[in-house]
Amino acid sequence: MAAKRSLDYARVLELAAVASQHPSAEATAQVDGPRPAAEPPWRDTVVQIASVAESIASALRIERPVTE
Amino acid sequence: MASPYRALVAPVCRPEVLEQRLAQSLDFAARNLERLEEYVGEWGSESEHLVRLVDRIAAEASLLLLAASRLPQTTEPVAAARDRIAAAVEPWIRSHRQRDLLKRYPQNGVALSAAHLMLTNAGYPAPEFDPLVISIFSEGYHRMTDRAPWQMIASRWTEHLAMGGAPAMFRDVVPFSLLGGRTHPIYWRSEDALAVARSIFGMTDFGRHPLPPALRSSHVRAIVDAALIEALFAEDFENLLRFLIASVCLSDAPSAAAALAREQVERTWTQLGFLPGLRFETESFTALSGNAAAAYAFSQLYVSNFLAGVLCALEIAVRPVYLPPTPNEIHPLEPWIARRLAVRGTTASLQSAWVGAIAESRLPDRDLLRILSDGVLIEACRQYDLAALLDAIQDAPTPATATRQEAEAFLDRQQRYQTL
Repeated sequence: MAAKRSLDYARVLELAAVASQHPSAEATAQVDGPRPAAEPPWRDTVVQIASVAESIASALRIERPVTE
Repeated sequence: MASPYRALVAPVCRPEVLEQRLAQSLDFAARNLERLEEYVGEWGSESEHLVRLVDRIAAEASLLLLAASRLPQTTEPVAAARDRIAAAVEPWIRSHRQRDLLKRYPQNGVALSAAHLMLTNAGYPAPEFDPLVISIFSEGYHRMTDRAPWQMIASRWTEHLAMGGAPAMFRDVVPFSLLGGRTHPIYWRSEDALAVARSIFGMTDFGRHPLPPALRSSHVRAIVDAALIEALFAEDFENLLRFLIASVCLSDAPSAAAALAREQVERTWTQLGFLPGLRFETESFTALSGNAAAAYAFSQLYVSNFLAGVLCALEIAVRPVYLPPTPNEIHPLEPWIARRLAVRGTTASLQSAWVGAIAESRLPDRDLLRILSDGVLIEACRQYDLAALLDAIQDAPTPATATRQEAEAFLDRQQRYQTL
């Protein structure tokens, strides 16, 4: 699938860095007790799985497309 | 009902593409189910479990068969793969062990008999097994244990498969169901997501019937859309597929969230050649070899790859109407992508699959903006990042989505009781 829009990834990182420095962030992050259903840390991402996709396909005898 | 989003998923949902994808899913199932004996050797016997991993796999395969059997017409590869799957799972589903368990534990008969009933309804009957299974329902054993509302819905759906006749009724269950009240993925544990998805599957008989009239379809759609957004950003392909199936079951117009989720499924399927499983660990996989590696990979991937086949089968049956795409208006998406990455505690990064999905989506920017905004709100609530939540609420696009309303209520609750 071809790219439909060009995103400015440098700008994203710059904005993310600013957002994570929010002055009230430290104060509001401190709450006793468990956080509600946070994302489990053991979840592998698509990028991680893609690194072994060839081996998985081979093990499970999946016919992968010739081009990606 | 017509929807511009049908056009956006049109390249994905062309009948020939869906047929090919369904055949791929069935082929994946057939190839690996034929190796179940080898895999079970790697997993261990689990004989102390009433429902073992191999039984769960056989049941999910039966659901895939049932969905594929409901197509108005079928291609030769699909028909051949269906027969191979049925032949591979039948010895596990209609075994002496299952017969003995149904005799000994009839109170667990719904779970124990579901695979047999799906197989039967998919066109692979075993009349000699029927009397034992039907007695579970006709003699009231299925009511001998306490059940949560979603389990009652699943039980009635299974009973319907056993007894046939009129569609199952759910009116009395609806007020107690998560769908009948206030709910949102902000608050969900993994069981809640399953309960919501399975309730929709059961109540609609996988899209064959409308939801009970007591449920507002707009309310259910809002829940499904929020669940799709949560799963998309979390890279949880199992829930993404469950809620895409639920979305098709609702029989209303596909939403922007459903269209983006569908694009993401197709994109990842093309990239990998299969769909990721929720608990797959590359480290565990690479530490294994031979049959052990295959058994591990299959045990982690069967759910998403079987569900993908169910989704394609339902989409073939629904036959979407394609309309011209809507014109785009340019909105900067970078600030919202940045906000999602900056939520405290999140594991997302620029390499996350959803970033690529946004970049390559055919959806108009204004829809992506709302999806991103909802994604930030959900994650900020779940990670309890109130600073990010406050900012996102202040800048969220209008009109407010159901997610924004729930996020506002969540934040208000934190502020209202702050001084107690």
